[in-house]
This record gives sequence, structure tokens and C-alpha cells, in this order.
Amino acid sequence: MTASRSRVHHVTRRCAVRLAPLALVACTGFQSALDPKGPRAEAVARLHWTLTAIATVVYVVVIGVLLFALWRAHTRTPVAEEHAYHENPDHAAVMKRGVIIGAVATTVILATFLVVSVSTGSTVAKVGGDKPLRIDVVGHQWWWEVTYRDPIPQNEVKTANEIHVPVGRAVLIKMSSSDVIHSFWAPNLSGKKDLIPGHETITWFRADAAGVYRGQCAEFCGHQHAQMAFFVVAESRLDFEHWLDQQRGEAKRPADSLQQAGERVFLSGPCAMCHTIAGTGAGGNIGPDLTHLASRRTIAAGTLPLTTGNLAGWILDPQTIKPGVKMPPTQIDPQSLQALLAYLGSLK
Amino acid sequence: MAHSQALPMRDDVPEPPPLIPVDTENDVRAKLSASWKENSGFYGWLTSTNHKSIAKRYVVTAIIFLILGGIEAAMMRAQLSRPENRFIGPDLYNQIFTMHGSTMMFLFAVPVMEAVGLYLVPLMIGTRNVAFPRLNALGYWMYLGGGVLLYAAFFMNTGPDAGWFSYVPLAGPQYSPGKRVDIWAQMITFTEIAALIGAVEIVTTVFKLRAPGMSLNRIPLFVWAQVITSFMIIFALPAIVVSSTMLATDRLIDTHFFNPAEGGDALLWQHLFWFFGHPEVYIIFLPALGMVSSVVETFTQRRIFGYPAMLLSMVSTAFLGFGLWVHHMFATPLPQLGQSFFTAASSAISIPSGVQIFCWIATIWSGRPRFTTSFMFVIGFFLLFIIGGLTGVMIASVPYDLQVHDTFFIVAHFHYVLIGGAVFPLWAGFYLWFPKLTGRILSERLGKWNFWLFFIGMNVTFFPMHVLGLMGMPRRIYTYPPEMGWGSLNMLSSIGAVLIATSALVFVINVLRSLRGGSPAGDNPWNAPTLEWATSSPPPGYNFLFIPVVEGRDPLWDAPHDELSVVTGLRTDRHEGLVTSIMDAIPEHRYEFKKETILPLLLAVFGGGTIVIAIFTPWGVTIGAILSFVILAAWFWPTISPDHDTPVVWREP
Amino acid sequence: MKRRAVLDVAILDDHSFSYRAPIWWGNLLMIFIEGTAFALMIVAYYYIRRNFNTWPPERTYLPDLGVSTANLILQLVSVAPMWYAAKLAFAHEPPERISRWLMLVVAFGLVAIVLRAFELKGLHTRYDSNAYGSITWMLLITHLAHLIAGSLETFLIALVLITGPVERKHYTDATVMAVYWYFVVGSWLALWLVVFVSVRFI
Repeated sequence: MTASRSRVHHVTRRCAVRLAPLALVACTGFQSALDPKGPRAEAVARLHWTLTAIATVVYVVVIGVLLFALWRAHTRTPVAEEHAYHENPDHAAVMKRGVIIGAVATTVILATFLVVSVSTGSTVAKVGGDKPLRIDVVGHQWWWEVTYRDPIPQNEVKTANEIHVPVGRAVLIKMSSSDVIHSFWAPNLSGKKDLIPGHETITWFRADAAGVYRGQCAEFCGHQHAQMAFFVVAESRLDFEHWLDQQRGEAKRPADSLQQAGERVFLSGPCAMCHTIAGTGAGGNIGPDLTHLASRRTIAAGTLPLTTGNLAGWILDPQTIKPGVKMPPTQIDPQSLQALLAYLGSLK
Repeated sequence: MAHSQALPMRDDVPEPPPLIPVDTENDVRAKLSASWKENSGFYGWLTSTNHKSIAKRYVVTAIIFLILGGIEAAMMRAQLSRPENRFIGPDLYNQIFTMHGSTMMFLFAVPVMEAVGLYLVPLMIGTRNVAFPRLNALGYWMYLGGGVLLYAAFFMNTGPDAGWFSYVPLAGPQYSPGKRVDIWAQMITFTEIAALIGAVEIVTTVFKLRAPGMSLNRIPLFVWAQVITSFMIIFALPAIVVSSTMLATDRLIDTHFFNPAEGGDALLWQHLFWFFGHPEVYIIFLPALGMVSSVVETFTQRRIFGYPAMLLSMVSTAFLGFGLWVHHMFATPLPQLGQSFFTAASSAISIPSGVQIFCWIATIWSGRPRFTTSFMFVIGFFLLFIIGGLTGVMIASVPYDLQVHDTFFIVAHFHYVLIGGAVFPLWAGFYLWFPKLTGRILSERLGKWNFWLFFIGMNVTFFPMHVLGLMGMPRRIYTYPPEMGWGSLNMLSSIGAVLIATSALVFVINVLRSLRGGSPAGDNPWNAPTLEWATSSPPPGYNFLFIPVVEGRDPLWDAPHDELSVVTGLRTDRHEGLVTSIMDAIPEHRYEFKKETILPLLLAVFGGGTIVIAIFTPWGVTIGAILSFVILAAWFWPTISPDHDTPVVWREP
Repeated sequence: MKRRAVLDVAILDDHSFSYRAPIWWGNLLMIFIEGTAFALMIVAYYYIRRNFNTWPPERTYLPDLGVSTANLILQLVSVAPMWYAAKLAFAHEPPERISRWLMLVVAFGLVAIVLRAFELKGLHTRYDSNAYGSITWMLLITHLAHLIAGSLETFLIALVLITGPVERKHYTDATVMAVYWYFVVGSWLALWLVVFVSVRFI
């Protein structure tokens, strides 16, 4: 008893520590299909409770009849028919009627189910709202590339593993994959949709309440399928515009000599071969765009909260934290690391 | 056991033919024993073509794979019992869940169902062997080859790791370099050959070798289930033959079937795979329904109510089973109207399942149930399978599926369907037929422990997974962070796995104890109605001293005065059986079963060698094909022993 | 359990033909399996077609009609000796006579196998060029495997029929072989229509 309570306590504490940056998040339900925060998930949650209720009734009735049959047959006094292996004719009529009633009831229930299912299906298929926000998502092993398109190319915003959306506005997501099949799923907002190389897929959702909702890849995609999460941050229209504005444009220039040293480390080291920092020479496109890294909540697709310590650990030895990830360990002396962390930490 | 009003028309027969004298029977028994005696010792084991020896080793091998698959499941449960557990890393975990799925589907469930069929079908229809005994032996060796290949690779850290479904491009040459997925594809080749052979055997045997009088409407439901399943295998497996070949050539010789850059298509794989993969579920499930019928009939001492309805239900299940594959692909880009069609088809399949359940309940209602372990497992089947069936209808709904697809909700659903719907009936079948296979009855006391531990363990393990799935836990993840709140339910589920493992242990102990000192069974310990109980336990090599003549649907219940009508006139100096007409089972001609030989094993070695070498060089195919042809020539070459007494060689008229 | 002999089958023959013979059913089920495989490959052919703007793909010549049609005619003609051999077998004619006709079928089969090499050349694509090349090669090679297997089996039966020892059931084998050969030829008709004819219209 004590053990379990201390365990719960432990979990809660760790939860609080790890999620300190995610102030809005409740401990449970931030990746739950039954805690809907948008019209799509809501329709399905309603469907869930309806279907569960019907299924429970059906189960209770069928098992009830089975138990009754067992009980009746068991308690019946043996009669002369002991050795006759066929039911007697008047029983047969009852049995026939029973089976027919059962079959008809099954059919009627299924027809109802079909109507409910198809109507829910068409509800969730219709995009809820005009002028949806358009976002492109590309799946990579094992992170999410997020692009906010804009008619003016300089205004295009690229980020990773974090999707900011305004509350109450429909979001239309165009998805593709750069490697294998992934599946985009934030259960509080909507059901999942696959990202398939060679095919373009589309999904939409609308967050009706502000909050941070976790999602993760739902189609097995190799080694780190387990740690390919993302966050949908639903915020007020103002906050969203502010965020988008901040994400636009090039990275902040290093403010002090330490950060300048860090930038040099980044550009001269292996980092720049895979990552982009807009406004610098770094233009790699294998890993996530780091132009505004410090504004994100987590690193490594939701694997760790973004703290200086975690970032240091990640740079030095990503293979221990996320075995199989494409990022190699970095050989770096402590001073350079210090500088690099200072620089990356400045990339708001 | 006879009763008076079974066959009223018998009164019209003025003078029944005389009983066969005991001396004649002993004489025939001696001759049949001599001609059906197989090679002894280890060599005899390698050359046997008797359906019972082959089916028995099939069952034992399948159970060994079940245990291996179970150990893999236990390791996954250990890893998932706590968040951020470091027991198994992603590389091994991905291999383990791929191995678990592949083992359970390809090396346990399908083979074990066919194996039980290959043992029982010839006995239930009253013949001496399967139609093509040597082919049957080949089937087993290929199956064994596939299993050994998969596990040898796994123990060398080359176990496949792209899932039992091997979705491309993840399983393609670019994202799965190395030999892991090739091993998977070739294991598929082995097991699909075995499964197809089994299916051809069962259909041909049932169509052509039934005892005289066993017209179509007198075939036991278990046998029907096997026939329908075999047809499903025949039409479903070519899809995996084609797709796994495409995958193998994409990986080995650079074809582009699934490469979008060159016009290939990742979804083509999914369509082909599920066109096989969904019927596969019913290939596992239908034989289990046949077992349920046998158990219900035996332990309620009532003929199954609604035979035509049962039969039609199974047939329509088989047809509908081919129209559902897209419900595995609701999250892919597909037209919405098409999806609704698959929703309708997927939910409609529960109508035939429902009809069968109602017929069994009606049978129980009118019968006199005996709560043996076997019957308890059938009750467990009802309690569990109906849950799986109901969640199955729920996920047939497209919007619902989009939430729970690829989550633990699905894991829960199909384990309820497959364990509840197939493994529980299989265990009911083990307790029912074990006496026939071994001559010994399993302990009922241990059996009850086996049942309750399994039943409770199953629910404790899998029920929480429904909730986990709805709480957002995806499948095939090796770890999860503590703040997800999935820890306690996962721990509960892992505890359930311990109960299931204990139950398996009890079963193994029960089998071993009963083999040594179980109470002797006699011919028909349960007073069951079908023909396998008309011969000794275990049955002799030739199955029946005389081929029985069938006069009703329940031959042993219908037999008056404990007498069996039989056929005489078959030769006893060679393996001879009787071919009857397909509809009414009217005798057509005598038929010689092939005798034991080493050729199937040799063909499996050369053919299997070809399949394995093909992983490394395409030339392996050419060399292997030539060697295999040599064996096949020997296989087809006529062998007539000098003591052949009737001239069968053609002569100038 | 006592037994009562109600039926004596000693007078029955030891073989039969057509749907009465177990081997005929075994063969038919094999045909179902292989026919389903062909059907699925044809579906895959048209499925892949949707990924291309033109068919055959750009910079690929249309597959040659000449040699494939010659092969089709050749195979269709080979049905005649096969049919005649089966007719002789049904009538329990002398095995040598049946064997001669079967050998003729084998000869046709060998020519068809040689022609297949030219057909592959006439596809003007390779299995590793693109998905079109992969699927057309797969269809032709799979059918080639059937031609080889059919010819070898026919050859084996023909050989048994002249060298013996011939059993009466070998007559059944010859007729069942014929059914398989019809399937091999019929599936080529279908594949020819798909790969060489329909490509010109879709």
C-alpha cells in the first residue's frame, strides 16, 4: 500500500518536474481520445459512449441467455429422453424462434450502428470552419517537420515537433513523408491519418480550448517509433499571431562573445551538416530546423523537456537517450559545449 | 448407447447381413498391421507419411512455437510494465514484437488449426489417410523449415524487425538494410507452401475419400469448418505469395514494386497484404468454430441445432471475410464511400457469427451439459469472443477506428478475438481429443486450474488494454514517459501475463502427467457421435479395420445396438482406401495411398535450401530448382513392388 | 463394437477420370491457387498503372506484339495434341501412342520457352527500370515458370508411359496433365491481353 502510494507520488513528482515548461498541461488526459478538445474528437468520443452502451447491453443479454440455458439444462430433471440425442419437436420450435429473434435483433442493431457510424463519419470529414489555417507536416524518422506556408516566402515558418494553432480556428494539415509511413495522431483533437511516401494526405482539426495536447506517431516507423511525439499548442489568436511573428525571419544574432563562440562551434562542427539555422551558413536538412530552437518546449520529438542540461546530454550522447536516432554523438570539449549551449539557448 | 428410435427404416430391412466373425477381423487386423507398418526408429520418423504421425508432430511443433511466442509476449509485458523501463532496448523490442506476431500467426495459429484438421479429418470422414500422403509430409517439413529459419536468424540477432505486417517502405531495401526482412519474407514462403499443401489435402480428402453414405449433409461441422477454411487459404494465400515475392525481389534484385520514386506504391503492399491478412483471421477462427460444435455436441449430448444455418453461416463468413481488408487501412487516403462499404461488410460479418452463437446456445438449452474442462473452455469462448466481436463492430466504424487504430485498443480487441475465439476452442479441443490422440484422459482437476488461470489471466492482461488505447497508447512502442499515466494499467496487464504463463505451465504438467499415468480412455470416453471415436485410442496406422458405412449425421449415436455397418473388399496388402462421389459419397473406385518415403524430406531440404540461398544470391534459385526437379522426378516415378499381385500394367488387348 | 459388412467394394476399379479422381481435384485446387496469384498480379499491373501519366511510361517503347502473338498461337496450337493425348488416355489406348502426342506437346513447350526470351527483350524495359518493368517482367517470368513446370511434368509422364512400369492410374495422370496445360495456355492468353494488348489502349 505504502509502496504504491509512494510510487504514485513519485510519478506525480517526476511528471511535475519534467513538464514544468508545459504549464498548461494536466497530468492525465493530454493524449486521450476520451478527453476531447475539438469537434472531431468530440464526435468520436460521443460515438464511443454510444457504441459502448449498446455493446454492453448486447453482451449482458447474450451472456444472460447463455447462463440461463446452462442453468436450465443443468437443473432439469432427467426424463425418458435421456438417451435421445435430438431435441424434442416442441423444443425445436422454441429454439428456432429464439435463433430467428436473435438474428433479426443482430441485424437491426447493426443497421442502427451503420447509420450512427456513417453520420458521425460525415460530420468529422467536413472541415469545421472557413479559411482554415494551412500547415504542412512532413514525417521523418523520428521527428515532425512543420511548415506554415505564406504567400511571401520570407514569411514562411519552419519548426519541428510543435504545432501552434489559434483556438477556435480550423486547421488543415497537408501531410507527406520523407522516408517511411508515419501516422499523425493527437487524440484530444482528432483521429489519425497516415503520412505515406508518394501520397499526399490531408487531415484537419480544431482546438476549442486552449491547452497543450500531445500527439505521437501511430504507425510503426522503425527504431524510435516510440519516441516520435509532437505537441499541439492551442492558444488565443493574439498569442498565436505573436508566436508566428516571432518564428518568422532569421535567427537572433549572438548577443555576447560566448554566444558568438557557440555560433562558430555550430557552424564549424558537424551540427551544420544536418541542421538549418536561418541567417547563418547552416543549411542542413536532415535534422530539424533550429532557427528558433529555444522557443520550443521539448527536444528530440518530445523525448526530453528543453533544458540546458538535457540539451547538453542530447548533444553529447543522443544514442543513449534515443537509441537508433540519426544524430551521432558529438565529440566536444567543455568550453565549446558551454558556448554552443549558450548560443542555442539564445535562439528564441 | 444405442437407442431404439434412431433408424426406424431399418425395420424394413428384412434380413440384416451377418456380423463379421471375430476370426476374420483378427485376420484382417494382422494383414493391415503388416502392410501399414512404417519404418521404425529415427529413419522411420523421417520417412513417415501417415497423417496421424505428421499431424501430431505438427501440433507439438506448433505448441513449441506457441511457447516461444508466449515468452516473447512475456518479455514485452516485462518491458512495458513500467514507464521508461530499460529491460529491452528498441532494437531487440522491435524484433521481439515482430517475432511474436509472425510466430503466432504463421507458426502457431494457422498451422495448429490445419494440424488438428489433418489429424481428425480422415478419422471423422472414415478413411485411412489423407489423399496425398507424401505431399502432406512435405508440408510439415516446409513448415518446420520456415520456423527453424526464423528462430535461427533471431538467435543470431537477425530477427525481422519491421512488424509481422512488414509495411513498405520501412521493410524495403532502403530502410531495412541487412537480412532481417529477407528472413521474414522467406519464412513466409516456407509457411505459405505448408499452409497451401494442408488446404489442398483437406479439400481433396473430404471431397473424395468420405466413408460411403456420408453425403454432404452428413459431414460433421468440424470437417465443414476445415473445408471452408481450406478454400479460404487457397484464395487468400496467393496474395501473400505475390506480395512477399515482390518484397523479396525489391530487396534482392532491385525491382520497384513498392518504390514511389519509380512508380511503385507503398499502398499496393497494404492492399495485397490485407487481402491475405484479413481472411487469415477467419482461417484461424473458422476451424475453432468447428471445434466448438464438436465440444458442445459431445458435452450436451445433443446434436447441434440448426445444421444448415451453421453451415450457411460459416460459408457466408468465408465470403465476407474477403470483403473486409480495407478496414485495416482506414487511416490511408481512400475514398469515403468505399470506406462505408467496408464498414458495412465488417459489421455484417457479425450476423453469421451471431447465428452460430445462438444455435449453440439453443443446443445447450435443450441439452444436458457436463461441465468438463473442455466444456468450460467453450463457455470461456462465449464470454471472451463476444467481447472481441463487439469491439470488432465498434472499430468497423471509420471515425471510431481512426481514433483507436494502431493503439492498444486494437491489441485488446484482436487478442479477445484470437485467444477467446480460437485458443479457447483449441484448448477445449485438446481436452476433448487428447484421449483419442494418446489413449489417456487429461486430469480434470488440473484442467480446471488450467482454465481458471487462463480465463482470469486473459482478462487481467487484455481488458486494461482497451482503456490504454483510448488513453492514447499506440502499439509497437518499446517505452513511454511516466507522465502519460499509462503505468498502472500496464503493470496490471503484465501481472495478468504471469497468470497466463502459470496456466500454460499447469497445462504442460497436465499433459506430461497424463501421458505417463492418465486414466485409459477407451474408444469413446465421452460418448461422442463422430467416427473418430469408432476406432481405438490412439487409432492404428490404418485408422479403421473396415471403412465404416454412414447412415446418419451422428454415426455413433445413430448406430443401433452398438453395431457399425462397414465396407469389405478393400485390399489389405497395400495402402488402399475408397474413393466416393462428391455429393452422396457413393463408392466409385478403390484408391492406393502412397507409402512412406524419404523423398518429401529431401525435397524440403533442396527446395528449402533454395529459398534460403536465394536470400544471398539469385543463382540459388536456379541450382535449387534443378535439384528439386530431380527429386520430383523420383517422386513421380512409378514404384511397383515385385509382389504386386494384381496386374495393373497395361497390356495389349 | 461389432461390425456388419453391408457393402463389398472388391469389384470396383482402381482408378477413374475427371472429377471422380482425387488427383483431378488436387490439380484443380493448384490451378485455383495459381490462377488467383495471376489475377492478383494483373490487378497489381493496373494498380501501378495509376502512378504513371502514360502507359507504358515515358521513353519506353510499346511491347512487341509480334513474338508474343506468335507464342500465343503456338501455345494455342499445342492444346490440340494435348487434347488428343488426353482423349487416348480416357480410352485406355496403348501408352506409347499417348506418349508420342505428349512429346509433341513438350516440343511446343520448349519452343514457347525459347520465345519467352525474345518476348522479354521485346518488352523494351527491364525489371529494375521502374515499376512498369518490374510488374511486366514478373508476369512473364511467373508464366515462364509455369511453362517450364508444365513441359517438364508432361515430359515425365510421357517418359513413364514408354519406359513403364505403367499403372492404370497413369492414364488419369495424363488427363489431369492436360487440364494443367490448358490452364498454362489459358493464363498466357489472359497475360497476353493484359501486357501486350491492353497496354495499347489504357
